[in-house]
Amino acid sequence: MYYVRVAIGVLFGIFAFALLDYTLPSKNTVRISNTYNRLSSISPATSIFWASDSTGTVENSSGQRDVRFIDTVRPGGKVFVYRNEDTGWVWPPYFKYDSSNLHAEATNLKSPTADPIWVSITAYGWRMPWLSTYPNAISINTVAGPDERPLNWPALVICTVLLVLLALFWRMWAQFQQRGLAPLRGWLTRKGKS
Amino acid sequence: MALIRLWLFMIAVQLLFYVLLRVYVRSQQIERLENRWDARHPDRAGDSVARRAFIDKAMVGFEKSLKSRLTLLVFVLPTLAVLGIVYLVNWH
Repeated sequence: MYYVRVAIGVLFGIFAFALLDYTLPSKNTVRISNTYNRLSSISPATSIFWASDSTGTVENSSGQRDVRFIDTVRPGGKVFVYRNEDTGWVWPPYFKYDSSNLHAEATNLKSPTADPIWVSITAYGWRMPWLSTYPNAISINTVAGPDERPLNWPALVICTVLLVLLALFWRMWAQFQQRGLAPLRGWLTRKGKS
Repeated sequence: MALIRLWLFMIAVQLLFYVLLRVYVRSQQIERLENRWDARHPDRAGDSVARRAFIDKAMVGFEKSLKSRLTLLVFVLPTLAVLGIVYLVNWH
């Protein structure tokens, strides 16, 4: 029983970390090399890695969507592909509905290798080539050079708020145990003895 | 439609959190009042009718205090956070 509890705890920890890692925004300094739309089939198994349907892009009868993509190159030379989808009012709570504007911005900042424009792209999600999943770009800001890495303050703020809430729940539970559960247990044992 | 669903979900979570927070804040205040009574009347410490009457009277005043009313922020802050995110993501 002890090992089962430990295993469940570890799995829960991994799940919580993965959820935060997927959902929290991350910033990367890249150069935009191309922007385009591509008809992409969204399989039911990987649909959680795409925006929920009917939040901007309409799915056709064979389960395909015309999704916007942003091709980028990292300072080291490796490539990285973002998708650019509205999240609407559904999970994750980015409430993004300006993907057309973001795409125009990205196209405007497109630059060749010889004359690079470096930008910092804020995005959430994972790039998993074997599942064809792409991080969703949230915003694009120009930076001075490939070495500049702006502070990821939104993720810091969200983590702080979550920690404060966790501490509050811990205090609430402790108070409930002391004031609610302990007297109840005492009352029950007294009743059992008499 | 999605906006209404989000709003309903937020209201439900806020109501649940508000109830829990009220129970917590009130419980803390009652504990504080009990300790105050016990410190004032060392000869009559512990649960009694007089202490319960004192606490009931003091809790009426507590409900009108700023600290008690600040718990209503549970219904304001999440909406402000959503508006802040909408602004930062779409207009910034």
